[in-house]
Amino acid sequence: MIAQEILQHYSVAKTAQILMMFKGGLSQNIVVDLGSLLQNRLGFDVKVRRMFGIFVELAQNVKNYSAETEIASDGSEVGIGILILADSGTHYSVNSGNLVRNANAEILKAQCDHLQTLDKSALKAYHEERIESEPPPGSKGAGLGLIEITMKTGGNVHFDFAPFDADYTFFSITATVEK
Amino acid sequence: MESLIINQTTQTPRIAFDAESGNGEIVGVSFPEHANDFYACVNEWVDQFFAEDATRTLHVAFNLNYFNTATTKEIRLLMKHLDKHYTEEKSVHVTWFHEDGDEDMEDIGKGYSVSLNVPVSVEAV
Repeated sequence: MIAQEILQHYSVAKTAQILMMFKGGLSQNIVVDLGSLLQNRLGFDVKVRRMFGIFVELAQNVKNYSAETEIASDGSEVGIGILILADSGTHYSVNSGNLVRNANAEILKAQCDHLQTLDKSALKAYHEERIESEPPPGSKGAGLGLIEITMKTGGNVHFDFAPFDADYTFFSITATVEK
Repeated sequence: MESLIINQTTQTPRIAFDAESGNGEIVGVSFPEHANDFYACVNEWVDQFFAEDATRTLHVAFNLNYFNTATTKEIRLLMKHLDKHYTEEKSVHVTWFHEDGDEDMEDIGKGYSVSLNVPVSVEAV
């Protein structure tokens, strides 16, 4: 019975060509360790670095903005979420998922929709505008993460939302880059 | 004044600014939890370097192969800081190293070389 359950996990991971999956609280130390794991597994050439950049950005997004949190071993409050890295043979697919409050989901959705309307030069201009201004209220980074992910993937990024319960929405990001 | 030396870690670059020679370098990867705190000391060191002797020359070499978006912002601030000193007639030179074939890093360096007054030479290694 237990073997059957584990076989299911194994089969899902195998079919989806998953290189790495993590679900839990993402402290900075965990982000760094997952990054080391990726480097040990894949090396650190220019294409891996591009994927790695997206991976770190998604991981730090979950850490900073997930509505579901826990206290990490270093005492800091960190976001909980899931990170999945898959290899399709020609591309890396970097995925993240975490809960957001329903009210914030609306704001986030508007922001994501806006990003998807921008072409390369408009993205660059928007990036420039953001980097020169103060981070948006509530931002723990530079407020540039989603913009840079969109730029780095050449627009191959998909934002999605799934209902979770009365208070929360599940927010996912799927970014694809060439291997 | 003292040199500024911070050893490289898996998430932060080596930072080495030599007070005697005026050579500074930032080498490695950068995705610290609090990028603004991490880089603040570099701006302070640069101010102190020129406060002691405004006629000295500062060479700053960036040799990073990956940094996160929060670091992007801090590097921008540091570049603008160096540019400010340059426009105040201090002698400042910047070299932006990138791995041969790493177009993302090359483009960032070239962006600085056209947008700033301080000379930024972009070199493949």
